[in-house]
Amino acid sequence: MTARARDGAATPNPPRALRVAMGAVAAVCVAVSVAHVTLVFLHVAPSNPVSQRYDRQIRGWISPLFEQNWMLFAPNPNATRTQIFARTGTMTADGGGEVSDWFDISAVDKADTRHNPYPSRTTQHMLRRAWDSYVATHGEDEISHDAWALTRQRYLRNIAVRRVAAHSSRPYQMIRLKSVTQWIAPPDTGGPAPTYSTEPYTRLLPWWNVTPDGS
Amino acid sequence: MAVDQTSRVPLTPDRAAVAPDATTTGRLRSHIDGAYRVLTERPLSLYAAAFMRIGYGLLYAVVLVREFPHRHQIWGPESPWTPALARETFDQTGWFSLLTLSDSRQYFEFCYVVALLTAVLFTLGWRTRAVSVLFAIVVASFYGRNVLIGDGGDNLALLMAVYLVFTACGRRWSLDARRARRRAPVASRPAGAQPSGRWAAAGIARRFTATVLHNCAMLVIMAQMCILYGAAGLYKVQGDLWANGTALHYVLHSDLFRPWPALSDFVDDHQLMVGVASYLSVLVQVAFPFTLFSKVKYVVLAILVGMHLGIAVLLGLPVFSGVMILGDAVFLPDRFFRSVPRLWRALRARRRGPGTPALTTP
Repeated sequence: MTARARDGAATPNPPRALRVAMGAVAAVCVAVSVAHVTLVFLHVAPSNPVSQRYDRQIRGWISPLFEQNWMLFAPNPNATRTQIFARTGTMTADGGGEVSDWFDISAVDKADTRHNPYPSRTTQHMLRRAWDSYVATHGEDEISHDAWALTRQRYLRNIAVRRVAAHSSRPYQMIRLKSVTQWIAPPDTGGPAPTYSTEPYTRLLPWWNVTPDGS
Repeated sequence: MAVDQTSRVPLTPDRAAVAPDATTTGRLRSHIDGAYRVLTERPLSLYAAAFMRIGYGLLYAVVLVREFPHRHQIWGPESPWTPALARETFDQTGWFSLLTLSDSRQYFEFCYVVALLTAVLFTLGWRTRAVSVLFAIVVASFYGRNVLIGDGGDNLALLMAVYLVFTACGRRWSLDARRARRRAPVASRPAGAQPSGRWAAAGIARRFTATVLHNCAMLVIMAQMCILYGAAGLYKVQGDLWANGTALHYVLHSDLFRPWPALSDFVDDHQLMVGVASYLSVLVQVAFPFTLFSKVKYVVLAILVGMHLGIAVLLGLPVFSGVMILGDAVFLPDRFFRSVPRLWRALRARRRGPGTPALTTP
């Protein structure tokens, strides 16, 4: 009870000017709250005439502090399994080239998840999300068409460089990646075997230069 | 709009007389008056706010400790998401991070210690308002430094860190509360010794502002949770794997989200269970905002908490689940939070010995 009194029921009769000011404060708080929730809603909702019209204002308010990413396993969970391999290339003194074998840079994540109640985000998110964001910003030509895509390409390359370094200390000047994606088998319902592609899909990325300073 | 009217109501000299007015405008007026009182008279759900403060502070400290061996890879100057890449992204998105102000390793280690200390102080509720601002800056800085390393849990934790700044989350279960309790006898001086005039007015204004800010922020947190679940549910409705009830089968077979393969396979073998759980998680998420005005919300909250506990164990995402469960806590009444310590004391009393009367603690 004392706690409630201390938490500040307003005293019965504050001066009039003060009451006006307090009313104004309340109005501003309510207005900002309503505006915030409305803008968040419009940002999350599918594109509609209102959100198109106020697109600039909505984005200006939401980005960066109030981002909303609620595509949690949606619209569909990932039904594929992707392995990512790297190989490195070295120029030899006589002008020729040498390439290494393909090395699975994603295997370590799978191994580190096993029997781990709380895997690190370097295991569950780093390469997975770097790959997803590369795929989201690059087409079949594998060219980074804008600065945004280029940052994603660099990030993926830097991760690959670090993972290769953990595996082999051989110097190299170039690196290239490939992914091998397979569909996860649908559940066995006891009926006719469901049709899905069992053929793995390979995506080969171009050679990227690697400089010692990582630029 | 109604917003403008609320500010005018308290200026009516005899607002009590307005209440019994039977006309439509009179009723509307008394409704607005009532809403204004609820919003301004006292901070609501102080225990829920304190619970969220403790929970988010603790979870953030756990994350920082857990990732301590990987901190350079994730947020440090040596991260594959280099400071240069982060700064380039900031130019395009308007983000800001304290961590990219310098590329020196010492500076990063210093920031890490400050972040950990802030999370601990926030959990304890020491000078909560000031520390909550620092906590929000820390969470935003680490989030922005590498936006490609988190999940939806990090997104919600950032939003909550910002919203909690505006709440009075340090009034309960905190060092601030303990200090206030100790100082309380001094405050009950005879009326003559009370501060008067301008100081009293400033005190009233400060308490009033804190109350309104708190209540608005709590409502925003509730709305945020509704938008989160509504969106997460409605996005899933558009997916054919959720529609045919096999979505969880694929989730359970994702290599990075099956720390216990035997357990995942065991669950996956029970197709009825997988189907029911797939549908239930979509249904409950979509229904969530509509259940909040009835007692059904407790059933839905219990299902959501169960769902998140399942995600924590089966998918190896304990922090994500913790962040979501803490968000759900905003909907629990203070009654609930106060009864928990009471129950705990009663249980302890019962365990201490058969001679101690159980469940009769005052």
